[in-house]
Amino acid sequence: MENASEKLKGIYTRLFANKYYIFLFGFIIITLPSLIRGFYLHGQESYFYYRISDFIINNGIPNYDFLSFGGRAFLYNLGSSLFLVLTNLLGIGLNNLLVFLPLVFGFLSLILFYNILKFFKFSNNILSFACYILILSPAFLYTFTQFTSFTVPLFLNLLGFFLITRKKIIFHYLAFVVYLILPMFRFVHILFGLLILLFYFYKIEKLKKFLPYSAIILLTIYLNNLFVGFGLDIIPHSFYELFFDFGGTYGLSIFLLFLAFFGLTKLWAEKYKHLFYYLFFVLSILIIALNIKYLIYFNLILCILAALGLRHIYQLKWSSKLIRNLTVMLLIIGVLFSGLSFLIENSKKDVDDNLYDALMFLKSRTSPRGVIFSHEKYGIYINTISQRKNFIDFNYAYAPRLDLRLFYLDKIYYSRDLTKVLDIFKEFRVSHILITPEMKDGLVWNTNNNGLLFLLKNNPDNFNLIYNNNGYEIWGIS
Amino acid sequence: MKNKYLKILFIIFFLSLFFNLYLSFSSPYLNNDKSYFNLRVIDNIKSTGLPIFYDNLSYGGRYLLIQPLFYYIFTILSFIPLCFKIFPALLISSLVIINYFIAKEITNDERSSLFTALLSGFIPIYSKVLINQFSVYNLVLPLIAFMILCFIKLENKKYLKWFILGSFLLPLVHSSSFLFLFILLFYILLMNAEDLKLTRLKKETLIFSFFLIFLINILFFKKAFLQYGFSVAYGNNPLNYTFDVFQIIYLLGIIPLILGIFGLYQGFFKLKKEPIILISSMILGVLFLLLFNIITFEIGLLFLSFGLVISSSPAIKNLFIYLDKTKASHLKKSITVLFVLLFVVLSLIPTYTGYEKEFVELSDFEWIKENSNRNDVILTYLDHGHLVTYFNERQNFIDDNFLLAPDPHERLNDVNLIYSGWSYNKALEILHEYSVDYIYINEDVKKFYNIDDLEYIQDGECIREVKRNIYKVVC
Repeated sequence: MENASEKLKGIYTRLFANKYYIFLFGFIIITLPSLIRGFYLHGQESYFYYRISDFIINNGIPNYDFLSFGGRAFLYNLGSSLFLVLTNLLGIGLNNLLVFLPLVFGFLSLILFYNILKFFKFSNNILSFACYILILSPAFLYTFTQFTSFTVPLFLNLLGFFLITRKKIIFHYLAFVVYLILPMFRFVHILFGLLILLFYFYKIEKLKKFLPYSAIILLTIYLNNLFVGFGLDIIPHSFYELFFDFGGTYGLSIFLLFLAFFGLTKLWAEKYKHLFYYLFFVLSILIIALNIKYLIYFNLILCILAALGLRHIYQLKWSSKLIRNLTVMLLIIGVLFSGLSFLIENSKKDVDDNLYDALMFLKSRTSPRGVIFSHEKYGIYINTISQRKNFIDFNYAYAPRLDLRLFYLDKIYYSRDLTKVLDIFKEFRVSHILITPEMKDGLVWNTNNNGLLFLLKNNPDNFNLIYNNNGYEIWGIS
Repeated sequence: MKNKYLKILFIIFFLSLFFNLYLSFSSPYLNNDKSYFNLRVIDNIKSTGLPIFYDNLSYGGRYLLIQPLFYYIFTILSFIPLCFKIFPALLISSLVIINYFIAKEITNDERSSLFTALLSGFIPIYSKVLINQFSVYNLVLPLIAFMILCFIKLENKKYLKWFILGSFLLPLVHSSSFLFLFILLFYILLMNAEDLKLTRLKKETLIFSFFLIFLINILFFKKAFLQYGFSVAYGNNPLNYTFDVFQIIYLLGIIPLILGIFGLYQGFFKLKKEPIILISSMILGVLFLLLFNIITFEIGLLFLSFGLVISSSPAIKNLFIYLDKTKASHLKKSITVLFVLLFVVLSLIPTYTGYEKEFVELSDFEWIKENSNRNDVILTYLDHGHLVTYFNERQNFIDDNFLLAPDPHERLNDVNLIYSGWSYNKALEILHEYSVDYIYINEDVKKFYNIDDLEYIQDGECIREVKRNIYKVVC
């Protein structure tokens, strides 16, 4: 009986650690949201990149964006958009690229991650645990279940590093090309590239080999900075944004952190043998403090540490096997829970039919010169679907009169002073207001008579309701 | 001999139970409007099988986060007559027995354990927070006390199982399980600081229960975490608490406070016993949460009083040992009587006098129910919010379920403006904004806001008195 159980356990472990099962699992999880919602654009970033890339394809790189923030200088990081434009030359279609590219890159990134770990001779258990944990991490899912600013650079970083670890020189040349492209993206991606290369050449090869790579990266950073003008990307963020479970969009799973903590204690058992790893770890935390986007990369490191931690917990001498098994189970459930929560929460961010109809109404019935006032969450959709100017969207960097807009936004939402609100609308050439049920249900207001809602209802001479469908309202300003 | 002590213990238990029941049955109503919210949840479970997830009467409609175990237990018990008076009293009195056994683990002395049990049956803060209330804390406090007892006796497998079960149940009962996490964290810190070794089993159990409680809470509070981030710890609470040292001393009880501090000092610096470090961790955990305004003042004091009572036990024991060594050893019986007398004066009487019947007359709410429309909004002050939803079945303006509530800070400010403001126009603007139909103002409200009536009532026609204590917004 015991033999049979051992045999079954062996088969199960082999299946669990089999790379094809890992890849299949990864593929299913990454494609699951698209399978459920259909293969459409999803999330604000996808729509943003669609608009920008489409514009570049038709008109080249402009100096001015007429739609965002009512009109602004065209100062966007062009890495992802240019990548889309160039890939589009294959004739796939921009829409298809934005839908399928994240899935393909996600799948490939998983394979690359697996092979990189294999190169470092991690045991099969650690390797498979790390991959499963990565697949279920909100940061990875955020990057590859929709097109985001991380989709291409994360893949490129993994590809570049994977190529470096190959023995043939041709792969090293290819890696060179990849690192040449990387600086077109934000500084944080380059920084990770540099750090991981430094780590590799210091630990595995000779440090002097690092110089040509660092030189080419630094040179392209300089050129990129010269033309685009993006600095070191220091972006302030709240502490809770670091954790998905506490409301961060692509934050870390708190249970991943717990597991990683155990992984660190395992490393610490050998004290200063892993000094370089600790340095890398501490440096990563410092970078996150400056730029939250680095979480996407920190997540990779934590997944490896978490896998180490999980094995460490399992291998510790426990006085009660029951408690050991329950603890391991709890931690795995915690990681699973974060992944599933992400998939559920993210599925709610689709543009539903009612919003789409309202946006199409704006497109057909409003003047292209007018600015549409709504919540920041709908800014990109107003630009892309309605093809109209928005008052505000998520692209804060280099936005015109940003502080003033944010100040006025609050005033407009909650003020009952008609003259003041009309003055602001006039100043920013706002012609229409889009109000959604979500805005009335806590996103902006909590009662039907709050601030702007009160003004809209009680001033028919100034505001007229031109569209009302299932709680989606469009008000014209006269 | 053992039987004698057990008999005394049961006498103390029944005394405490009788005391609690006597106070509970002295009023036809339960104290604290939250009791009525809890009754509503149970009514909902009875009719739908589920707790309330979306409350369309609170704040004009809002989501609720409810940990359901407490409600399901009482739904099952609700078929027993007067269960909402009897069972809460039984649960409070159960502390007498649990605390006796904890004290016995600390002191290994029957007499001091019995005195500890006596102290734990009558603490003045109970009359504010537990007695005649159908409150979740009636279950949480004995459960945490029981888990502490199990943790102390963890090496016994029976208690290990109970502790694991408790770790699973506690987060299903209430968010106070977060407090338990803090206790565990402080416990590990203090044990390390004192260079005391935790047994492997205890370490493992701590790790397990930490993750279990954390995971269950994350599951329950996911929506709140996503909405408020870390601020969820503050529960979106708009109230500010002020500390009055004399009130704290009064509510904690002078005996538990003095003996508790003395016992902590002895236990921590001289005895260095693991159980007393656990109790110290609890006190530190509560103080930490109180310091950052994460738990309410009264709930903080409730847990603090529990910790102080337990930590009194080594002090009581040492007091008697000290007496034995002095020339007054023959006066031991007299001193025991003196101790009991002191207990009566400083614990029993303050607990009795500290109890107030919160709701004496609620017929106004019956009137509102009969004379208002189903969708009307009734404005009351914060402490009456749940009465509106329970007795009137109408929408309230505000209540103390702040988490996930829409703008409780603003609403509380607006309630204060309605009751204590001077401007008729401002009041009308607020009333219109929230579509308020009735304002309830009774003597408690007047006393609270130090007013005779609504100050602006003469300045317009739109707010009319339709009944004593009740105003209607007519235009």
